Amino acid sequence: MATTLIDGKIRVRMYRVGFGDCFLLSLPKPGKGHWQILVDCGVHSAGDVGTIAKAVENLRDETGSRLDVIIATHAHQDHVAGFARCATDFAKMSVGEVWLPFTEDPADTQAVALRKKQLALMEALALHLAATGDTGEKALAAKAMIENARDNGTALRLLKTGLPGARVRYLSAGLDMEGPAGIEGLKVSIKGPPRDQAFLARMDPPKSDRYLAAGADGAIGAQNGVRPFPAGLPREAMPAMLRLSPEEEAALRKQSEDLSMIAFSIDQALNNSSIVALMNFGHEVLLFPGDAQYGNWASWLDDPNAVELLSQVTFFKVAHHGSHNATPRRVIEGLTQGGAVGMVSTQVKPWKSIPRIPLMEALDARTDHRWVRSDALIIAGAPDAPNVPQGPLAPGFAAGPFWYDYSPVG
Amino acid sequence: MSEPKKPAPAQTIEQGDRLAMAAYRQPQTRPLQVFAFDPSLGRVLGNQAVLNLPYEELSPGPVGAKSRIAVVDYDASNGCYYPPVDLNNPSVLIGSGVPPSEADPHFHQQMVYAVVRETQRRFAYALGRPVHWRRPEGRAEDPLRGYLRVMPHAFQQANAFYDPERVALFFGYFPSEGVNTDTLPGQTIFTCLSYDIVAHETTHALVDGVRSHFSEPTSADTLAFHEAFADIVALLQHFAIKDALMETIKRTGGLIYETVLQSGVSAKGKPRITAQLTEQNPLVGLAKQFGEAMGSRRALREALGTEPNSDDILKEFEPHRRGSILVAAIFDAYFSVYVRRTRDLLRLARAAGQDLNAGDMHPDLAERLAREAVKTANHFQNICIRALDYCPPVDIQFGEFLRAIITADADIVPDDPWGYRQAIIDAFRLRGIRPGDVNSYSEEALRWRAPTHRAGVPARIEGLHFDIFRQERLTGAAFTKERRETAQLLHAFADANRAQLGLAPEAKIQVYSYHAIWRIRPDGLPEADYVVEFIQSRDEPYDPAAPAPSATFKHRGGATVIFGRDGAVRYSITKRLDSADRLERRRAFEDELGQRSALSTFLPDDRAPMNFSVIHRGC
Repeated sequence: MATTLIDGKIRVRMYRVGFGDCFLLSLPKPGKGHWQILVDCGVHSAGDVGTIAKAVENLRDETGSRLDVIIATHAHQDHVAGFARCATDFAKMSVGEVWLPFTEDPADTQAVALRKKQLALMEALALHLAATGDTGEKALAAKAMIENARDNGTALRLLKTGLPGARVRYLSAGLDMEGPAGIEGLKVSIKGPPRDQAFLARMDPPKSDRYLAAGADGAIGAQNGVRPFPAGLPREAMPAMLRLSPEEEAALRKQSEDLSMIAFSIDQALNNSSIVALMNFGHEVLLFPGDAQYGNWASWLDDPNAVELLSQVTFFKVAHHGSHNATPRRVIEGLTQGGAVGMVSTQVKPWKSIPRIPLMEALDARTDHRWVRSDALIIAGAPDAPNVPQGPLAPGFAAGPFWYDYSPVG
Repeated sequence: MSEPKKPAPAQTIEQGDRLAMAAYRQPQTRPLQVFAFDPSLGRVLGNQAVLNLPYEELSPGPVGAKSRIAVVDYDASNGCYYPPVDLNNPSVLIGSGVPPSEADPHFHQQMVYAVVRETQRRFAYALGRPVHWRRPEGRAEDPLRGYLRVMPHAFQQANAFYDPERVALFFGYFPSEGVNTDTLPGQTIFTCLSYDIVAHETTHALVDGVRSHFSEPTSADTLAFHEAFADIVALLQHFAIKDALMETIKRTGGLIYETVLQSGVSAKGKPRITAQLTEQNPLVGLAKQFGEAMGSRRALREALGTEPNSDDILKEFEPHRRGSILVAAIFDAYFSVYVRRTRDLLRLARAAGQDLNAGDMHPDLAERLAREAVKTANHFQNICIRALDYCPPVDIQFGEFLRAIITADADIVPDDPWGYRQAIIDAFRLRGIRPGDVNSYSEEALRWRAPTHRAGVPARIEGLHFDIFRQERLTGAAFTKERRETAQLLHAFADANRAQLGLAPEAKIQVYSYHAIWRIRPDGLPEADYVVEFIQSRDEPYDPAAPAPSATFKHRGGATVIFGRDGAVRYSITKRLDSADRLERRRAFEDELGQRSALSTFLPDDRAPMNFSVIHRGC
C-alpha cells in the first residue's frame, strides 16, 4: 500500500499497541515526500492487544520501508519488543540512524556494569518472586515490572548491530544536533538521560541483599545466606525478656525477605535512562520524553532555560503512559495554555494506577481539550479507557483503525 | 552491680553481702569498649575508644532497667538468637567490657548498647530532663513496653533503620562486595559495628521520643530534618571522642575540617606503608564501611566540599541531599568556632617556630587542640539537641530550627563570647535557609517572641510541678494521678487562652507531651522551665475538588509552649491548624511526594508514613 501522508505536512501517528509506545513522526521534505522518525516500537506482554505486527506493517507502507531515524528511548519491553517480534520486517527496511541512550553503549564500561547488575538483579528477583508465590498487589505489580525489563536482548541486538547500513549513536543530555541523519531543518536537543555521577549512582541498585548478590561482572552468586556466627540458639533457649513473640519473628522474617522495593527502584532507574528529545521543525516544537521519570526530568527542568523551552512546545508525548511520577506538575504548568497538543499512549492494564486521572485532567485543561489517549480507540478484546469524554476529535486529530494521527492545523 | 565474690566459708551469705556493701560504693560509670569509627579502620587512628557510660544495673542482653534499652539479638534471616552478653561477668568487667572483635557477637551487643546509651545520655544532658522512647499504643503486657529494642543482627540486608511502630532499631549485616582495599570480598559487614550508624539510628529514636510528629512527612524540610539531625548528632560524636581526634589533628596541622590527611613522612608521592594508607580524614566521613558497600550516603566531606550557596535549598528535595545542607550549615559553624577558639594556640606555636604544615605537631599542642575541638563539639551537640524543645510540635522547617537554636541558646548562655550564635546564623544565611515571617537575620529578630505581641500580658498558669526529681520518685498510681491532673490543668489553660497561644478556635486540643526541664547555665545557676506540646488535628482531603468521600490525610497544627518558673508563658511556638497557607503547602507536598516515589507509579494511593527503612536504602 502506498503512503497516506500529505506532501508538505507534518504528521505524528500514535499506534494503539496496548501498554507500550510506537510513534511515527513524519517530517515533510521540501517538495515531495517525508523524512521518517520512528520513536519506540514495543508493548508489554501483560498489556498486549495484538496489533503490533499490524502497526509495523502499516508503518512500512507509510514510509516506503525507509526510516531515517529510529529512536529507542530505553530498554524496556513496552518500548522495544516490536523490534524483536518484527525483526525480519525491520531488517528489510532501510534505516539511517539508530539512537539509543548512553546507558546501552557497549563501549561505556560504567554503563555496561550498571546494566548488567540491574538485569542480574531483575532475573534473581523474578526467581525469588516466583518462589514466594506472593499474589499481593505489590508483588503482582513488581512481577509485571520485572517482565518489562527482561528478555529485551533480541530487540537491542537488532537495534545495535542488526540493521545493515544504520549508524548507531548513543546519546546523553546536552547534545544538540542540526539536521541529523540528513533531515534538513530539524534541530534536536537531547535533554536526557543525564550523564553525571549522581545520576549513575541512582541507577545503581541496592546491593548485596539476601539471595541477590550480583558480582561486578553481573553474574549472580548462588543464594548466599550468610551465617554471621557459628552458634545460634532457638527461641526456647532464650529468657522471656529477650525473645520476640512468634508473630513478631514472622513479621520480621517477611520484612527481611520483601525485595519488591528493589524491583520498583530498578524500574525507575531504567525509565530514567530514557532519551528525552526536543525537536524543532518549522513552527513545531515536539517533545518526546520516553518514560522519563522524576530524576531524569529534574536534571534539566532546573535549567533556567527550561521554562522558556517548555513554553514553546507545541506537541507533547506524555511520558511513561501517563503515570503519576512521570510528568512533574511544572511540566504541564510550563506548557503554554492552549499552545500544545498531547498524545498519551496508555491503558489500564497491567497497572490500574496508570494513567493517572488528575494528570489526564490537567492535560485536558492545559491543551484546551486538544489531546488523545490511545486506549480510546476500540479494539476487540482490549481494555477500554474508563471515563473518556466522548465527542468529536479536536482539530488536527484523526482516528484510524488502531492509530491516532495529529497534523498541525494551518 | 556485679555479684559479690563468693564469701569465705566462715561467713554467712548475709554477712558477706553486708561486707561487700560496706566496702564498695555503687560506681558512677561503666566503661565499655567500642569502635570509634568502624572495624575497617582497625586499631589505628584511635579507632578503639572507651565510653564511660552512666552506671546502671544491667541484666544479660544487655537490658538496662533505667535507660530502657534492651538488646534483643534475633536474626530473622537465620531464624535464631545469639547468646546474650553478661556485662557483669568478672572477666568482662575487668577489661572495660568485651574487647573489640568482629567475630564475637557479645562485643556487638555491647557496642550497640554503649553507643545507644551514650547518645541517650547526651540527649538527657542537653535537654535537662530524662528522655523517653516513643510509647506505642497497646502492648500493655509486653515485658519490654517502654523500652527501645535494639537488634544488632536483625537480618541479612545492607540496611539499618529505626522503626517507630515497633520502637526498635534494626541493624543488618551483609557480605561485602570487596571493591576496595578495606574489605575482603564476601567478608561480613556489620552495620551495628559502625559508630555513626548506631548513633544515627539512635538519634532517630530519640528525636521520635521528643517530637513524635516529626516522623510524619509533612514537608520537604520535615522529611530531611530527621535525617539531617541524626547525621549531625552522629558526626559531632566523632569530634567529641578525643582519642579519635588526635591522629587527624596531628596530620592536618590542627585543621580538622580538611578532607585529606597529610602524609606524615613524605608530602609528595604515594604512600608506601600501611601507617600512611589512610588519606581520607575519617572525622568528616560518615559510616565509611557501610557507605562504601551501599554507595548511597553522602558524607560530610561532600557537603563541605560544596561551596555554600542559596540555590541548593530551592532545588534539593531528596531527604539525604536536602538534609546535607543543614548538616553542612551546622558544621560550617562548628569549624568556624573551633578556628576562633584555637587561633591563639596556633599563633603561639608559630611564634615558637613550629612548622604546622609538616604534619608533625607537638603532642602538647595536639592535646590542647583536641580538647578545644571536643569541648566545642559538645557545645554544638548540646545547642542542637536543646533546640528540640524549642521547635514547634509538628511540621518542622529548617528556618524554625534556626530560630529554636538561637532562642534556646540565648536562654541558657545570654552572653556569647565566642560568637557561636553568629557563626550559626551566618552559616544558615549563606545556605539560603530563611525562617518565615522574620525580617532580618539578626539574633533579636530570630528569637522566638513572648506571646505579648498577641495579647499584652502573658497568661500565667498555676499549679505546675517543676521538680523533676520529685516526679521521678513517684511511682505507680501516684505517678499516673499526677500526670493526669497536670494534663487536665494544661488542657484547661490552653482552652482558655487559645488566642494568645495561637491555637485554632473550635478544634480539639490534645496535651501531647509535658515535661519540666532543668538546665545549668554557665554561670552556675539552675534554670527551670516547663515545656508542653499542644496538638490539634483534622482530616483534610488530598484533593479538595474531588467528590466526597475522597482520600484524606491528617493535617496537624498546634503549639509548643514554654512556661517559666513563675508559670508565665515565655514562648508559644505555633503551627496554626487554621492557616490556609499551610494547608495548601501540605497538599502540594503530598502531590510532590507521590510524584517522586517509585512505588506510586504502580501502586495507587500508597501514602505510607515516613519509612526509615526505605529512606536508608536509597530506593
